[in-house]
Amino acid sequence: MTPLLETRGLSKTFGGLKAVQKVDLHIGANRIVSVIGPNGAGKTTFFNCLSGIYRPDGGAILLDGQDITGRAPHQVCKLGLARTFQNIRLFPEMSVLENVLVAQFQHRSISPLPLLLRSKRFRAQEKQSRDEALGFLEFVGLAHLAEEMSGSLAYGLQRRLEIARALATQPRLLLLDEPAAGMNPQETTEMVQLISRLRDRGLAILLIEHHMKVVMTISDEILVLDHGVSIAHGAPEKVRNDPQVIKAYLGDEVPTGE
Amino acid sequence: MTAQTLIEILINGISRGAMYALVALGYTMVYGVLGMINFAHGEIFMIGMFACVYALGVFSLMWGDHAMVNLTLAMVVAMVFSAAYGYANERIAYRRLRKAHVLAPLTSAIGISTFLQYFIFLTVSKDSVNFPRYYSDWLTNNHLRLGPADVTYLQVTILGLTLVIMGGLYYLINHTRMGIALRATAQDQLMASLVGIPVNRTIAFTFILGSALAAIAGVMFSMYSNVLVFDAGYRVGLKAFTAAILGGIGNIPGAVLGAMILGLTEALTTLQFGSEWNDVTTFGVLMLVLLLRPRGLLGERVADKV
Repeated sequence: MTPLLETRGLSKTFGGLKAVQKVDLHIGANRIVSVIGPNGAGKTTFFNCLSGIYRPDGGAILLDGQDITGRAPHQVCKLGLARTFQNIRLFPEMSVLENVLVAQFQHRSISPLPLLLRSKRFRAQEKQSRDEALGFLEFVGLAHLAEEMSGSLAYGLQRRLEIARALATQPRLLLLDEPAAGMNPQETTEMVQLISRLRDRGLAILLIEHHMKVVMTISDEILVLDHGVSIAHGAPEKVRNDPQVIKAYLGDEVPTGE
Repeated sequence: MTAQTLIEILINGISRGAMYALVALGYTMVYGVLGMINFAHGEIFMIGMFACVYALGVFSLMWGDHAMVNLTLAMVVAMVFSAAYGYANERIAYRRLRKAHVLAPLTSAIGISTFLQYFIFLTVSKDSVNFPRYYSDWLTNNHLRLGPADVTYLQVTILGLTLVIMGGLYYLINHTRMGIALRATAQDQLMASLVGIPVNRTIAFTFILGSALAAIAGVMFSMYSNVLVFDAGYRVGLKAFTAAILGGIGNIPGAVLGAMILGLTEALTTLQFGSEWNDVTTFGVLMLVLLLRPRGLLGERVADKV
């Protein structure tokens, strides 16, 4: 069976720095895979290559068997890959609802004619996309805040909104960059529940996370990067006891049970 | 000042302001989305003027002088020409410079502006061209009585058209799929792209829309002033740009407000001192407003963006 996402020898260099070196990864449908590694290991660069922000210097990215290497972000998005950011990146001057509506762009009709005529069908479509957007907000628990300005939401809620917006692009693979960063223990637990519910919707999830407890409870597989190189890949139990992984972390930071 | 002169100043000012507003919107939309000043926008306006007059000539040769039909069709031709030039501008002179230092696209814009002026000067007309009176007479010679004052049909048309366009633009930006894509692109190009918005197409759309509005203003202005010159776009463009700055660049209602203030200032100046003082007073007003409110009248939101 074709994996949902496959990278073959993916590499990205900045000047002399090899940020990502020949990383191979397979993600099956409906799996949760975590990418861990010390700071500067190349995790975010890896995400940026996958989502089309960076053009890789070498290797290939296949989404559902289709080569997406070097495609523009909006094309990658259309093929079913969405992401969130470690530093939240909402449209602050839009309402919560608009932040979700904006992500439906590619799935809505483009013809200006029904717009001008305001036909029944057009209004029905408008209502449908609004209802869908509200559905995504409901899913992350923000429906009651739909009309608020997104910039005024509390930090934890902004992260949830980012996920709702990503969902509205109708992805099959969702990239979450430290979704629990800066959250208190209760918010973190809720985020873990939200991620499991995302998987229950049929999504595959690729996750960068520093909270080891989160990573160990939620992941089907873990990929460990160090200096841009994949040093381990497998089930959480296997990765946890891998001597190379332990060494990589001891040299920099010790995985804690926070 | 009698009630009659007051009403006439208001009407003249508002209809001049409405034409400036249509051009100012192009400056402010492009700035809002790209953070750059498209100095060639005035030339897009000028190309609309010339395209309209030449289309009128062609139409009357082809099927005779049906004033309203020809004028409407010529307006459409002007919009298409201006939009094509505006799109080509973006595609050729700005797109590749989007990530360069801010001075690069600005310099490119000044270059395009001068290029287009002298291109028209050398290939179309070295002398001023008169707008065919036959088409504007009906609009300029007929009046509506408004209390003690007279309003020409042309002024009514300008006002009506501008109001409809403003309404349409407001609806487009706030309530349509393209509008939301445009706002998202203005706020964060990369993020817009990541949620599936084709950013290049959205930016091209902004240029096409702004250019078509400038063409409408160009047609109105050529009927209003009766003369077309190759540097008309530079003069009107500068005024419209001033209006956009005055209102707070990047802010759409601001551009309209700024244009209205400019139009009224000009109408008042023309009456009190003569039209040769227009540039002195309008730019005087600009400097005064900027001293008191450096971001322009409605421009507070722009500061966080830039």
